[in-house]
Formats: sequence, structure tokens, C-alpha cells
Amino acid sequence: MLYGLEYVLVVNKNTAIDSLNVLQIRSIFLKKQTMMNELELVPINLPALHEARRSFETNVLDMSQSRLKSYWVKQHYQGHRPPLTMKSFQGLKAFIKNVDGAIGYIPSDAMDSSLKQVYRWSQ
Amino acid sequence: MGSLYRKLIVAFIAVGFFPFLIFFIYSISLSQQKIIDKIIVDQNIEAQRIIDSIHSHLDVLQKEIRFISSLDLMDDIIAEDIDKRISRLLTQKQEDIGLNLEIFVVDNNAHIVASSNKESIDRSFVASSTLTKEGYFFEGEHLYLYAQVDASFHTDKHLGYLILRYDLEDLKTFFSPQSGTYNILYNPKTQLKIGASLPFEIDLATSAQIDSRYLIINKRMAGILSDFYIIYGEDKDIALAFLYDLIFFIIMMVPLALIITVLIAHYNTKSILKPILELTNKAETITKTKNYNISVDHVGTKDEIGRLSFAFNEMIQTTHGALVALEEENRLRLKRFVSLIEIFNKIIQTKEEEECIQSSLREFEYLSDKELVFNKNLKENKQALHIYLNDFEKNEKSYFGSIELDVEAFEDENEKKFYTSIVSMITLQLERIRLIDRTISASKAKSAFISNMSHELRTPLNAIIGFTQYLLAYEELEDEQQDIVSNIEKSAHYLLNMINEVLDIAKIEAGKMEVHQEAVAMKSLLDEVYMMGSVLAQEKELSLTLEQSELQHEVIQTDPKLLKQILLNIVSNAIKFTPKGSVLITAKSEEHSILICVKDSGIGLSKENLERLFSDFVQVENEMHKKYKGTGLGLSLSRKLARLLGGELVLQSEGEGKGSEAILRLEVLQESDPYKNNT
Repeated sequence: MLYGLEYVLVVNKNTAIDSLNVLQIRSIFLKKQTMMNELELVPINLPALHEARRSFETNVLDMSQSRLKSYWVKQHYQGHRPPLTMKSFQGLKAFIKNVDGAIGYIPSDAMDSSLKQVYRWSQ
Repeated sequence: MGSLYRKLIVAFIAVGFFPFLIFFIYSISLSQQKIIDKIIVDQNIEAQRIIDSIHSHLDVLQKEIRFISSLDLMDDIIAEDIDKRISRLLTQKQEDIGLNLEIFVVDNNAHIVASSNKESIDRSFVASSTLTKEGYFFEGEHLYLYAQVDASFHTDKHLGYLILRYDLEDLKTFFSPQSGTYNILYNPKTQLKIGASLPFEIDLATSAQIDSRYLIINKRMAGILSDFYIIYGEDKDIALAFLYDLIFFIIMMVPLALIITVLIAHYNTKSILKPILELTNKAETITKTKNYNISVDHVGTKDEIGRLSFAFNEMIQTTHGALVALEEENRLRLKRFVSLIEIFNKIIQTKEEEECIQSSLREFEYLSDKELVFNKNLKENKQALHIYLNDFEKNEKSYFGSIELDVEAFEDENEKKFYTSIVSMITLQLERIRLIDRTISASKAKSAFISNMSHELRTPLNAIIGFTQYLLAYEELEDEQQDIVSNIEKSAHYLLNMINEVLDIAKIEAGKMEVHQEAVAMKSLLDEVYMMGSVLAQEKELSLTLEQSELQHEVIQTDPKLLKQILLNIVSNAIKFTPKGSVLITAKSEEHSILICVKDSGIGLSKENLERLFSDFVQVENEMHKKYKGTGLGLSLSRKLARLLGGELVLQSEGEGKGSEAILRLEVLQESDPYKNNT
């Protein structure tokens, strides 16, 4: 299944968010929206060259890396910082499990019961 | 010279060396305190430097901890550092700091999530004290620096602590290890000591202490380690090494300086003394050699010594001139003295009054270049030297004449004395001439008188003797008359003998005794004397012995009559003064003489009497006079006769009662040597 790889955007199951659309996801990850349902949102990225992150940026955020880079340079001057980065899916999953409001992407087959899927896309 | 040299040397040392010595002693004693003060100051500075270094070091570490704790990365605590990103960072940091320390992260459950030491991960960490905002605490030998970690996305969210465990032993690296220095950090509250063990006791009461071996300071630390004190000790020997070096240097320098001072003093003194020494040597040379032509080389300097040598030369020249003049004058005086003696000599040799005066005047004029006139008339007007002669018989002085000088006045007292002495000399000689003349004539008169008298006495005596002998021989006298007449005869004989002896002495003294030399056979002459002596000896029952076997010169050239008289005299004397015992006549030859000894065992003579015995008319002691008859002329006459024959008569005695020995020594003329004649 060459194109069958699917990613899911997840929060921990305590988080009162059931589903997010692309626009919501984009404003969360560009840190335009930081709160939802009185809960502080913590978007988490994987390392820049991680294929899951490239897939997320291409397919969900629909922004090229260079564009994202120049966006965050501008944001930096206004005191905003890009999302936290975790190095691996395991780390990401551990973080999300421990932090309410944390939101990140993992392959769909890495899902478990402690997580809650809020968006899904395929390669 | 030696003492001057010493004085100068001492002066140089006093001026040059002692201030130097005093300066050094002063600087040593001063510098010791200064150096100790300086060392303490240095130690304080060093201690402060260490304190500052440790302080800033810990400060840096604290900031580092705070910085790391603020990193977003710390959010990984949430994921339990599942990606090991924190651990890697901490390991990296630990390696960067490079000490024996551990940096680790504990989460809110005291669970070590990440650490620079992998083995610590998953262990639990329970702090000994509650973690406060201070950011540090001590536990055992460790210091814990910590910072609270908050979530980057949620400042209220406390994730845990980042903790740095610091091994306090690592602080030793701030001490500069030097031999002789001892550094520790000391916490009096916990008794914790960081650093090498100390060889001395810690005393925090005083900030600086100095014991016999160490200089120790302590200083309270600042900041985190403010409970600690830094103890900084230094071995005195090493701390004061510089001082000891300095003292050693000075001790080495002192003799060197002394030597240099002495050398400089020596050379300076030598150069100062050199001209003086030269002057002294010259003076000594002059004194020794009496050579006043020597002069001192000009010293060249215009100082006192230069002037001294100049003055010395002047003095030498003056002395030299004076000496030459003196010598000249001396020579002149000596010449005058010699000529004076010559004059005296000539005056003494004169035998006539007129000759004496004329000779004196001649010599006098020759000596003084002055015309002298002898005048027999007394004049008072001119400078004249009057001659008065002493008449010994009348015991008064009579005017003889005057020597008139052709001068108005004498130049000085000495000249007058000179002339007076010559006049005295002339006077003496004149008196002497007169005295001699008178004595000779008196003596001649006496001898003639005695000679005539004796002759005149002998004629009646001969008549008396002749008549008494006739009376004794031809008149029939009664016994009493016979005794009286023989007594008269004996007395007359005695008187005749005495007169003969007196006559002989008078003859000898008048030079009228004639010596008729002829060859005399000594042996027969001695036999004759012996025969005559033995008659006398028999009368007194004495033994008389003649020993002439050693006689070699049997025949000598002499007057037999006079010789027999001498021998008879001494033999009869020996018998006369020997109450009992023996008389020994010995004759023996010596090289050019014959010795005839007459030795008796008689009354002998004391030494004083021996000397008096040969005087005319002397018999020893009055007592003797009574006992022994005699004129006392015998020995005196014998000696005179012996001398007339060219011999000598001596009398020896060991003392009174020890006998006496008369020794007649007769010279034997060479021609009459019997051995010569025989060959």
C-alpha cells in the first residue's frame, strides 16, 4: 500500500475536543489560536525533516517549508514561538498522554485507547 | 708607622663598613616584619582571588542551571525524556564543565527523568531539604544547585527540578598547589574540610596567625559558600625564603664588604702613608748613614704631606750646612787642641827656665799669630799674663815675670782661659824645673853627707874595735871586765855593720855602687854561702840544706861579692826568723835565669807586712824589734843589690807562723851560656 499510510492528529482522551477541521488545525499549529474550551492548546511537531511532519505540512497545513520558515521568523519578532518539537512518535505520544490540550500527529496504526483522534489524513 | 696605618684602616672601616653593616642589620630586621606583612597581604589577596573564583564559578553554574531549566527542551520531562534529548544535553553540559559533577532532572514524583549519568535515570531522588527558591543546598560533601522547571507552554505548569550535584572536592582545583602552601575550605558548622590535611590547627579567632613554622590566614567565603572559611597557610621557610635568601646574601656580603672596605682602606692608607713612609725611611737612612745629601723626592701633591716633604728637605739642607760648619769648626778646634798638646809637650820637655820661656813664646806666637813679649818687670798697664812661682820651701808665691800680649782686649772669656791655661802650664813647668833642680841637688847633698858621715864614723869605730880586741886578747882582764869589753866589741861590730849597710844603700842611691862583673862559678859560691850559713844554723840547732842538683848554668856573668852579700843576707834572715825547724836553699835553672830559693819554717809574714818589708829601715812590728835585732836594712839592701845585678828578689809567705820563702831570680846573659861556650 504505497499510498495507504494514514496519519491521525490526536489529543489525550481527557481533552474535550472531538474533531477539528483543517482551518482550526492550521490556526492551532500556526499558534493563532491557543485556547479552546478554556483549555490551553499545546501543538507538538516532530523534527523538521520527519516524513510525518512533511506530510502534515503538505497535506494538512498546505504550506511549503520555506513559507512556514519565513512565517515563524516573522512571528519570532513578535514574541511567538513555533510549536514544541518531539523527536519521536513515542515521545510525542508520552507528551500528549501527560498534557491536556497537547495535540500532535502519529501514524494511524500507533493509536491506542489513551488517545483520541481529532483529524485523519492519508498520504 | 704601623699604628698610623692601623688608625687609618680603623677609620676607613668605621666610615665605610659600619654604616653598611648597620644599614644591613636594620634592613634585615625591618624587612622581616615587612615581608611577613606582605606575605599576609599576599595570602589575603590570594585567598580573596580563590574566593572570587569559586564564587563566580558557582555563580556561572547556577546561571547555567537556570538557563537549562528554562529551555523548551525541558518539556520533554512530560514525555519522561523518552527521546533522551534532555539526557544528551545534560551529558553534553557535564562534559563541557568537565568536573566530577552530575546534572539531572527530577519530575514532580522525585523520579530522575534525565541525567548526565545514565545509571541514575529511573532512580528516585529525595532531597534532604525542601527545595526553595534559594536554588542550592548542601548534603555531605556535595553541593546541590537546582532550578525549578516549568512547562514552556504553560508557565503555571511545574514539571520538576533540574539539579546539579557538585562534588565539593572539585573546589580543590581552585587552589594553586605549591609546595609549602596549604589551602582548605572549612565549614565550622559541619566540620567539613575540603582539601589536603593540614599540619597545623585551625583557629578562626584571628584572621592571621603566625606560629613557629607557618603563616596562616583565614577568610570567610561569600555567596553560596558563606558558611565556609578558606584557610590559607604557608610554610614560613618557604614564605620567608626570599628573606632568608636576603639574609644569606647579606651574610655573604658582609665579609665581602669588609674585605672590599679593608682593601680600599689598605690601598688608600698605603697611598696616604707612602710619602710618609718614604720620608721616614729617608730619615732613618740619614740617621744611619749620616749622609745629609739625601733629599726626599718631591711628592708632587700640594697637600700637607707635600709641604711636609718640602719642609723636610729644607731641614735636611739646613742640618747638612750646620753639620758641615760644625765639622769644620771641630777640625779647627782639634787642630788647635793638638797644637796645644804639642806646645805642652814641648814645654814639658824643656829643662831650663830660659829655654822653657823662649820655647813657649815661640810656639805660642806660631799658634796665635800674635806677638808675645816676655818681661821680667812687673807692669800693670798692658794686657799681661803674670807668672807667679810657688816656692815650696818658703811656702809662698814669688813673681817671676809677665807675658805681654799685643792685644787691647781678649775676644771672649774662652780666649782668656786659653791663654791663662798656657801660662799655668808654663808656671807648672817652671816650678817643676826648679823643684827637680832642688831635689837633685838635695839628694846629692844627702848622699854625700851620708857617705862622708859613714866614712868618718868608721874610723873611730875601727879604733874602738881594734882596742877592744887588743884588750880581750892581750890584757888579763877579770871575768866581769871581759864581759863588758866583749859587749863593747859586739856593739861596735854591730854599729860598723849598720854603717856599712847604710853606706851601701847610700852608694846605690847615689849611683856610686860599682858592679864588677866576672865569671862566677855558681856551685862554689853557693857552697861558700852554705858553709857560712850552717855555722849560724848550728848555733840555733836548725837544719840547713842546699839543693843545687838542678843547676845547669854553672858559670854566670855577675858580681860575686854582691851576689854573695845578697845570698848571705837572705840565708841569715831565714835562720834568724826561724826559731826551730829547717831552712832549705834550692838553686835551679830556668831558660834565661837562675832561681835561688831560700825556704824556712819560721815565723812567716802576713800579706800587709810582706808589702812593707822592703822599705828602708822597716822591721815588721815593734814586737819583732824587741825580739830580733837588726837595722831593717837587710832586705831593702838585698833587693837593691839584686836589681843592680839585673835580677829581682821577692819574698813569699803563706801567712804568720807558716814560714816564708825568699826567691832570687838572676838573669843569665846569653854569652855566658855554658852550653854555648862548651860547644
